[in-house]
Amino acid sequence: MSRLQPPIDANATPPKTAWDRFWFSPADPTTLGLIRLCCGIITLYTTIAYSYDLYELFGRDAWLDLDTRYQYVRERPIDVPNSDWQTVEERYGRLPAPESPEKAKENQDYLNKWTIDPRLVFVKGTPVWSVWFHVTDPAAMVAVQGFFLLAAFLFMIGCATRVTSVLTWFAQLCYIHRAPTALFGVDTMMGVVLLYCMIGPSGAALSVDRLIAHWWRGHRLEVLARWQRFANGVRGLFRLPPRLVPEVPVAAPVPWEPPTPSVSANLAIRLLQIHVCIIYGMAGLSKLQGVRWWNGEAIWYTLANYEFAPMELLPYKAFLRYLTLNRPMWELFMTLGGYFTLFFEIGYPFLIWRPRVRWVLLAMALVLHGGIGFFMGLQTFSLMMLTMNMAFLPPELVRHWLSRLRRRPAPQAPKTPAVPPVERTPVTTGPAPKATAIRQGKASARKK
Amino acid sequence: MASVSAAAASKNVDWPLSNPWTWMLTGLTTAGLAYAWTRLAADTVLAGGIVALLLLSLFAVGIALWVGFGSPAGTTRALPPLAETYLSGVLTLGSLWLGGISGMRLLIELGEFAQDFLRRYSQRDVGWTGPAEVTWTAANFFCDLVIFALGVLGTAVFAAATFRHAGWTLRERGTALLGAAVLAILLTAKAADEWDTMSLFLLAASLVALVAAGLYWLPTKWRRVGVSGLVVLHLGGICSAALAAPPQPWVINQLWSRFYRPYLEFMYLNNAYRYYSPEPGPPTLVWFRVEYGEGSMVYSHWFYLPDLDTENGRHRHPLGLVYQRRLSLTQNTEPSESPPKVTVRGEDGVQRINPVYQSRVQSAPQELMGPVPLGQPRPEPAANRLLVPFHPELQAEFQYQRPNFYSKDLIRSYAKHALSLPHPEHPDAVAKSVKVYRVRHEIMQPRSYASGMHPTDMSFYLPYYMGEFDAEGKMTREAQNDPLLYWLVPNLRDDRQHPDNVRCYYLRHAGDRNWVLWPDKTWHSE
Repeated sequence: MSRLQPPIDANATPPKTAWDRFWFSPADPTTLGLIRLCCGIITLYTTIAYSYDLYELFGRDAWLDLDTRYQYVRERPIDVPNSDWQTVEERYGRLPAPESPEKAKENQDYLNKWTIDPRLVFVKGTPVWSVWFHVTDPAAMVAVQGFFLLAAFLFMIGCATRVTSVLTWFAQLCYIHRAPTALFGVDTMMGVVLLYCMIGPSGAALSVDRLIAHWWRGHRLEVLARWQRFANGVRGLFRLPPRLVPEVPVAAPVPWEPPTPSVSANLAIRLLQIHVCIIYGMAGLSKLQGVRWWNGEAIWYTLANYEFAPMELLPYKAFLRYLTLNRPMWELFMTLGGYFTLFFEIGYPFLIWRPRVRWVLLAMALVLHGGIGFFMGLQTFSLMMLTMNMAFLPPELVRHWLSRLRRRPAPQAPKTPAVPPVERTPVTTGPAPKATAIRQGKASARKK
Repeated sequence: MASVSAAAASKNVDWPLSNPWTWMLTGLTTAGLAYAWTRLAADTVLAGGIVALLLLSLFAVGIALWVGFGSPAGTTRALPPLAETYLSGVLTLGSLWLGGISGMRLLIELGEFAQDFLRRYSQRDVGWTGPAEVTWTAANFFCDLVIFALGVLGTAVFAAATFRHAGWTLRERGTALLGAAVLAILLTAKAADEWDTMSLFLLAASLVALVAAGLYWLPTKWRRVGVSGLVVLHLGGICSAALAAPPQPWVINQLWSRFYRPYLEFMYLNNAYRYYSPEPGPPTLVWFRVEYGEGSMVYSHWFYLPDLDTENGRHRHPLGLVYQRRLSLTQNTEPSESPPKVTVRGEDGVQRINPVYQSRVQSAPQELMGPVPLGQPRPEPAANRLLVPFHPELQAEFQYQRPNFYSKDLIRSYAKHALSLPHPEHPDAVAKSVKVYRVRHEIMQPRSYASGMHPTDMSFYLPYYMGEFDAEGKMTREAQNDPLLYWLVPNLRDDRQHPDNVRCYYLRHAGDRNWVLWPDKTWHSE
């Protein structure tokens, strides 16, 4: 049940306006579950990679040492543009004299360090947080890292997802805020996807949570009966009267139900969709400032970047050599590559909403990010961007693909929220053939 | 009859761990204990016991919310009527306290704003009216406004429930669960205030729970309005981050600085998403030459960040992601100040060479003197100096890259870390000093590639000297007076007798004996 749909509002009026339909229609969480799974794999890999770098990136004497980082967190000046037409010189000229020589020295030290007078600073410091600011003992760091790895793993498989999604997001932001100079695109995108996986019920599909929920539907009374017998045993020690034990009748296996549509799943997917559009739109529009995107050279500067591209790989070398030895081919390839990138990134926010061309855009995303992953060595970033593009996959299609993988028909999404399973009527107290009965029931169902 | 009573019993019997209030009360109790411990204990250091209590409290609160809102029956669980009344009283007082505190802050903020407005726009000259006059941001004001409104709402709702003596309605149960979560998280935040950034995180988490409590209490229509408002706020923040990177309009800059910045930085959403724009550029690397001492022996070793094998193009890090992070570390050292003008006009109105360039020119050989204003005499090369020519293909301004304050701090920190790395062959040797070079690896032109040049040809590496740092991470006096500080120390094919040899002046400057690369890839002294 979604947070936005508490039981009391189950009979509320359905969304009427376009805005409400866009944001507040219940949606199948299968797509979100797939996004969680893919994002979880990348997040787990990233967290494992951090294990190699634990002290080098987050220790007290890391590459970016704790004191330097903390100084930024607390002292970094935030300036705001003038509300009048004063120049910088005029602003400095109108500063009052410092109250004391000590204050003057303090101001001068701040000016030397941050290149701005502290009296002109709007706010000092940034509101960032990380457990690595406080945990610097090596053994404790290993313990925290182990906990974060466990959370990432549980998030990936979708176990206790409502809790582990928050913990995974927390862990990733702890890394990010402590070592901002070690970040690149994948961290930015991971933060975005994890945020929306936290908002929506990302564990409602393709998850261990779902398996547990299914198992619970079939075994709830059995577990309760066992619990009650145990509790009665404890009560017996204190000579308290026993309570009634629910009996578990012979039951047929509980059928699989498709994930329950929810408003929060829709909200999370919509937010992700719009965020992806903003990302592509800004990436495309900002490229228009650059000369090399206009003259067609930009792609070369990504393909021939030795630190990123596989320039020692023989086929790749042969490809670059072929291009450079045939100038018309080089020019054609670079120009088309540049135009392809610009068209895709600028066109994406407008065209992706059109069902007819959506597949073209998604195919282009596959080509673009496949290229970035191969030619620029940014595999994790590319995979994360492709994961974000999954937000535009219809859940029916995802279910269809998954059913083909499992070779069984896809369950149809219910049109109304699923009804909780009806409890079987228990009878009298005393021992009952519960577990065996259920096992027999399952066995007979299997034979059929 | 027996079966009827058993049926009724089975409806009441449930898995005890699925009752959110069990968890929530555990969370509240442990948070209260942790808070009391930190306030009563003389030692303010966060002890292991307190940390354990705080973690237990947050865990219990998390499970309570998960159980409460994760299942259809979660929020329908009732407490005994007396407990509900008692908890309503606690939540009323809590809401009253929150509303009161935020109300006071709002009054102060409004007063400051009125004072600043009057001073800024009154006709009289009131002297300096800098931005630091107002000590709050629009983000603070907005948060206080929200907390105040929710505090008043909570006070009204729970006070009514307290005096009604009829227990909570279904809607109030969910709100009460979230309200209790707010209290528990606030207590943990106060208990953890020694870990200031974690305390900040918990305060923000309690604000989220508070807003969720308010939304939960609202009827569907108004809840949708509230969620729509949050969506618009959030997406507005994403757009402001994307548009606030330079060049940016004044309005967006104001919006970002005054309102959205705290939220975006807190959530790490403050990205402009301007990848490879305005255009892709060359990567930046950092090379360190660490000098070690062991008895009377002095050793040196080069550390490369990132460590890339130029023979096969493979990195020497355990994972590709580790290599990418090293590359990000170095890329962040790139920001530099604008280069100074080559000439400056003196008081007599005559253009003279800028002192920054004057010193560099005196360290260059005569035939590659670099920038000298027309009509000015060439300065004589300084005696007993290492002579390093200017790069013949780059303008003098581009050969000087003074890092900005941010890059300077990073380079100093990296240098300090490099000093902690042991010598690979003499692990007992103690690091004495490190010379740092920020290297720009130029991307070769297609014409060069077609002619058979390799991207790792030393002439494509442009090392800029960033200084020498001692064991404490401070720049040495020698480095501060070095005329080559922040200058390109190039690799050139400038030996007329052996035009294929590459003279790596940075190696010579760093103190290496062998600094000339022959075509057979062996290193020699000249």
